[in-house]
Amino acid sequence: MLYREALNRAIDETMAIDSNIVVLGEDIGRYGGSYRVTEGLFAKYGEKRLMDTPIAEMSIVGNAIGMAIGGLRPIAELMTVNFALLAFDQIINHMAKLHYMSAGKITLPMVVRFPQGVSKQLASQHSESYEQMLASVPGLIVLAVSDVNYAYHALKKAILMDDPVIVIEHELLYNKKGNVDFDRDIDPLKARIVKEGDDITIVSYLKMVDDVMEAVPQIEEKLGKQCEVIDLCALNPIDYQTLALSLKKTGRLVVVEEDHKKGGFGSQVISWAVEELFYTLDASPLRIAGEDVPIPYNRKLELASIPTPDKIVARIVTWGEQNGL
Amino acid sequence: MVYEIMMPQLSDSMEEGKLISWKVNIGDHVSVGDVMADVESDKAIMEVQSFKDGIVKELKLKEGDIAPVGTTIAVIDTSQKEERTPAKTERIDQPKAPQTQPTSIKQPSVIQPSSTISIAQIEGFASPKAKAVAAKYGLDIAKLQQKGQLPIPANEEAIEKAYRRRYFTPKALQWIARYHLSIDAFEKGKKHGEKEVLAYIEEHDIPLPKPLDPMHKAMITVVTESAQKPVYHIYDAIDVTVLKEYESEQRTVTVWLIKLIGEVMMHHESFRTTLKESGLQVWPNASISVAMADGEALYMPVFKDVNKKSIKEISKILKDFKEKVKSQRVLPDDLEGATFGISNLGMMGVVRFDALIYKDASGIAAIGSETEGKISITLTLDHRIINGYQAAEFMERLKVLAVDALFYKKGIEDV
Repeated sequence: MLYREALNRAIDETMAIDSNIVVLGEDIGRYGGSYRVTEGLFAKYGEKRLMDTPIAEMSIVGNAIGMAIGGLRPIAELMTVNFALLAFDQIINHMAKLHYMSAGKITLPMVVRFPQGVSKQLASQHSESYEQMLASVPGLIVLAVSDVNYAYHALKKAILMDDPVIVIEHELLYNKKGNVDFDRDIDPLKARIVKEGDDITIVSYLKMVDDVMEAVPQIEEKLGKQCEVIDLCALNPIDYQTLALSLKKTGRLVVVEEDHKKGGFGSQVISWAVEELFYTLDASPLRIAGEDVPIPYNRKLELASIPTPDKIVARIVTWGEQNGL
Repeated sequence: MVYEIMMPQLSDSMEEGKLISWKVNIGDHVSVGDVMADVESDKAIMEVQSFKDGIVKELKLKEGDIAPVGTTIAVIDTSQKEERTPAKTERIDQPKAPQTQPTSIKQPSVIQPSSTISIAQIEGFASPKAKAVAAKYGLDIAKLQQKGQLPIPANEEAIEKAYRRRYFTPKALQWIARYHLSIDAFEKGKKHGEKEVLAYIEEHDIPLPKPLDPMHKAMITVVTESAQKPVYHIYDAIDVTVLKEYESEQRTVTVWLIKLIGEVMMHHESFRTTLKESGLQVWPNASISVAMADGEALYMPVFKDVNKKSIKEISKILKDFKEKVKSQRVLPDDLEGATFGISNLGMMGVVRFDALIYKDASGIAAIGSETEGKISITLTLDHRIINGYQAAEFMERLKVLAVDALFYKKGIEDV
């Protein structure tokens, strides 16, 4: 099953059981979605439940909030996070806060989904990542989908949850293949241990999880040490428990993220580790992130501006050697 | 090092360029970005810059010369730049000063690569965890680093190692490793030798940990599965007075029993049957696994198609298997395909015992020792494959065949 098919199935299955679930966004109906996530659903559920909207992100999210207040369970799709910036007032001032400001009288059972990140030569206005902004807003649950199985289960749970949820996808993952275990439920707020190991904890999310996994065999060969790879999955709240268990075992932390280094989300993970687990750290934590430049259009420069498997190997090996690994 | 400046391709269609004027002289110092010359392409006059620091060694074209794209127009000696820099900077700075000002405004701000900070490695540097562990052991990190006994920065593993080296003799460490002891069990700040470690093991009654080898693990899997089978036992004995007459160094009791049981199996198909999820499989020939041990190593090599083999052949196979077991060279293929098994502890004086069924066989015969012309036979049978009635029939035929002199005569003659 493909990543986008897993997302499609999650929406389809929940729509089938709850007629209050509706989808709105640009081209999500007749066209089937820019990334084909809602393909086939229009024919099945009709235009009242799959609403094609104008190109007006603030109104898409604003309407979704209104629908949620009125008792529906809307799923708003925004074409990318770059355009979601226009809807940030609705997301941050309303979606995140109404439940609190109404003393719990208003619940917003809604999902806002969009892809982000560096694709292939979409230039800086279409390649950004903004998880650092959203994950720092209290009141929002923020999920980052890197895995096909997680895509299905997490989106389903997000739709059925009574809290407002941001589901972040990645532009390059929609055609990723994987298996979905339909029989085993997962907790979408729990981090996923992609690979176990005793010596280095590598924390990542979204597409960088795949890049890390590609790099790991070489790292393990060159350093002669084992890596434990953790996919954060939920960026707010963060599953610190899983991280702590791993870090107590390895004593070494590496965070890999695609976003620009300055103010990036990974700094939160490092800061937590240094505050809470300082005396279990057996090496200086390492952060591998994008450069602090607007993402270039030129493919070579584009790749130079973000972590790649080769760079991940080189950085971790050098760091490992400096720290006596 | 020498750096060559080529005639650049300044437009897609440019094939050659005309050198309009040199902006430097031989012996001049140039820095990255300094204009070397003006060159005319097919479209416009443009500047040619140097991409390295150095001293101009050679100017290969005269002003007004034309050269194809890619030919060397100037040579810069990059190795000399440092020697002559002080003298040069004075001369160059004055005319350059007004020039660099406007160009620097055009430049975008310099972007710092994300990780270039390197801190000098100073004695005393260690990870937080390493410091915590060193404090526990009372080790002075800086001192050990000075002596070269700890890396900079030190990590936990290095501290542990340093502590072990300092306070335990190599022999003591061997015992500690063998018994999986924690070094924390021994008083800190004191040297420990082999004697103390052995005394500790004795005093605390510490067992020697023995990790399971792959063969032992496989054995555990097989017997655990076997113990879950719905089995029952048949306790009986066969008369071996006739058999004994035909016993020799090659034709041992085991060899005869393999042949005997193989023959009887040909008359009872349930003893040639295995059970899979898809149903029962009845095999055309009698293949028997025989338990053979060498110390801890236990194997059940399979005598295939016993019904087609002569006594001599079975004797030879038994000899081969014994050697394979001894040298631990039993192949996976040697262990497959049996529908019944034999375990003979009788030759070691055990009067009666029962055995566990091996893998997907239907049963196993446990052979005891001879008493008054009889040896005990205990069958362990999988009731899903063989019922009691069928087993009784099998036993009956075995008893009859065991005293059939004709069978033994034929066995000896059959070469």
